[in-house]
Amino acid sequence: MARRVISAAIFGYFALFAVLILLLGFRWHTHRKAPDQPIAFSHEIHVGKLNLQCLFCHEDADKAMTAGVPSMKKCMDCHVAVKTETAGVQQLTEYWNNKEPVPWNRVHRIRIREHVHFSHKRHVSAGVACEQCHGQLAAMPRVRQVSSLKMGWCVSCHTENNAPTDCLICHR
Amino acid sequence: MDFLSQHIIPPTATHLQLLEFLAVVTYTIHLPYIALVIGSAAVAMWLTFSDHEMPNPLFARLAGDLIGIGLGSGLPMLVLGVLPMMVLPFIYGQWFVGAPHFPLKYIVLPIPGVILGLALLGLYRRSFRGRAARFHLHMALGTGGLLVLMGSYFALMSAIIRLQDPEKWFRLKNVVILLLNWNVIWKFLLFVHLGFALTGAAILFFVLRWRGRESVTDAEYAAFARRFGAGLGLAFCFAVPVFNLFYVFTSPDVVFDSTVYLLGAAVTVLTMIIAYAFVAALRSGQPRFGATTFSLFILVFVLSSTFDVRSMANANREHARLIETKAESERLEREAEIEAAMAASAGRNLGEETFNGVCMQCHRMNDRLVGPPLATVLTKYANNVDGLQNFVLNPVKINPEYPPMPNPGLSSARAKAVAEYLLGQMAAPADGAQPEAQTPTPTEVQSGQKSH
Repeated sequence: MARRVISAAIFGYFALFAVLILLLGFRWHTHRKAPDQPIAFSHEIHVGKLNLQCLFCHEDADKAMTAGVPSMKKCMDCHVAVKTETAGVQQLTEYWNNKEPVPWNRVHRIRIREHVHFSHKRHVSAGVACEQCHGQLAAMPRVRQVSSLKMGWCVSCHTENNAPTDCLICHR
Repeated sequence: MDFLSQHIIPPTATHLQLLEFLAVVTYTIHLPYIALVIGSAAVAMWLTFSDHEMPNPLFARLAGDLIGIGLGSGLPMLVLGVLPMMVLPFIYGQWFVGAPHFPLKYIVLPIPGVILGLALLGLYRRSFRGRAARFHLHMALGTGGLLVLMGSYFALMSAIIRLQDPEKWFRLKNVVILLLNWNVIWKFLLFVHLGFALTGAAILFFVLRWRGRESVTDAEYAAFARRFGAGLGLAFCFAVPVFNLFYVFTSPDVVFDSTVYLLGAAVTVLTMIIAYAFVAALRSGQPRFGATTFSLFILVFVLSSTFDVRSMANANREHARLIETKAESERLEREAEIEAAMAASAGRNLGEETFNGVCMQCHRMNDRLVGPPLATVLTKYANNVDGLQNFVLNPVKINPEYPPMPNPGLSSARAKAVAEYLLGQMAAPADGAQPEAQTPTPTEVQSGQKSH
C-alpha cells in the first residue's frame, strides 16, 4: 500500500510540472506572433533583396512622432508598372482603384496610453538604427514585434546610451 | 572566422544546421562531465569534512571513490572538460557570423576561469591521500577550485543562454546585466541540481557496478554507497522539474515552438523515470539500476542541450535567413559568370537580354515610366562602363522627382553586360537600334523577372 502511495505521489509531482510546461505552450500561441496581413507584403523582398531604405516608404519616421504606414500612392508609384502580374500587387491595385485603404493588421500590439510619448523623429535623428528596435526586417517575410517596448526596455537602452532618463522625457 | 567561413564551413542554411548538431554533440560530451565534476567534488568535500570531524571510514572511502570518478585523471579532464569548451566559440562564431552586437567575447572570457577551476580540483584530487597532514590546504584547494569552476561556468552559461535573446544584446555592454538574469539563474540551478543527481547515479554505476565487480566485496560499504547514491540522486531529482519549469517560464517568447515545449516537458518526464529507478534502487537489496539511471541522465542532458540549441536557432531565425540569402546570391553570382561566358561563346547579347527582361519594367530610352528616360541620364556615364555597372549594382536615389531605383538583383556579369549594351546604344544611335523599340518576348520578360 505504502509503495503504491509513494509511486502515485512521485507520478503526480512530476506530471504536474510536465503539464504546466505544456500549458505554457498556449501562451506562446498568443504572444508576439507575426499577424496575418490582407496582402502578403514582404519586407524580405523590399528591404533584403531590393535594398529599399526604411525612410523611403516610412517617410515620416524622421519627421514625426509615428513612422506611419506608407501611403498607397507610395506603393503604386512603382507597382503601377512593376510586378503587376502577382496576386499581391493585383490586390493592392484593386484597393487603389476602389479608393479603399489596405486594412493592415497592427503588428505592435501595445496599449497606447495618453501620458506616454514616444517620438520616432527623436530616435531616428539620434542615430538609432531601425533594426535595433524592429529587428532584422530584411529577413522577415512577415513582420513580427521584436522588442517588448516595455518601460524597462526603454530605460535600459536610454541608460546604456547616456540618453536622458528623466521621467518627464516620456511621461507628460 | 573569415578563413573558416570561406574555406571550411561556408555559412549556408545546411551548415547552420550542421553547427546546431555539433553544438548538441559538444554539450552532450561536455555538460555531463562538468556537472559530475561539480557534484562529485562538492559531495566528496562534504564527506571528507564529516570524516574529519567524526571519523567514519565509509565516508572517507566513498569520498575517495567519488574523487576518482568525478575528477579522474588529466586525460578525461582534457578530453571531456577542456577541449569541447574550446569548440564552443568556433561553433557560435560561425553561426553568428556578421551578426551585430553578437556577444562572442562573453563566451571566450570565462573559459580560462573554467580551466583554472578544473586545475585546482585536479590538485585537490592529488592532495586527497595526504589530507590528514594538510587538511586545510586540501579543503582550500577543493573549495577554491569548486568556487572558481562554478563562478566561471555560471558566466559561460550566462553568455550562451543570452544568445537566445538577441533583442537584449545591445544592453550587454555591462557585465552585471549579463549575469543578473532570472533565466540564466534558473538554468544554472537546473544544471547544478542535475549534477548532484547525476553524482548519485554515478555512485550506483561506477562504484557499485563498474568497480564493484572487482573491488567492492565489503557488504557494509556496498549497502552504504547504494543508499547514499540513490538517496542523493532521488533528493535532487525532485528539484529538477521545479527549476526546469522556471527556466522554461523565464525564457524569452521568441525561442519557442511546439518542439521546444515538448523537449522541456520531456526533461521532466525522463527525470520522473530516473526517480522511479532511484526508488527501486533504495528498495532493492542489490546494487542495481546504476547503468539505467546514468544512461537516462545522459539522455536528459541531450534533451536539455537540444532545448537550448533549438531555442537559440529559433530566436535568431532572421539571422539564419540573412546568411541563407547571402549564400544564395553568391551562388547565383557564380552561375551568372558561367552564363555570361556561355552567352559570349554562343554569340548572344547578354546585355540586350537583361535590358529587355529586367530594366524595361521601369525604363524606356526616351519616355518616362517608373524611372527617368535613359537618354537623359546615360550621358554622364559616357565611356564609364564601370561607373554605370556600379550604379546598377548599388543604385541610390538621385532625382527627387522619381522613386529610388531598387536593387535589380543582377550579377556583376549581367550588370556589366547591360552597362556595355546601353552605352553602346548611346554611342551609336544612328544605327537605328533603339532599345525602346524592341518589345521583349514573354519568355524574356519571365526570365528577367526571375532574376529581378
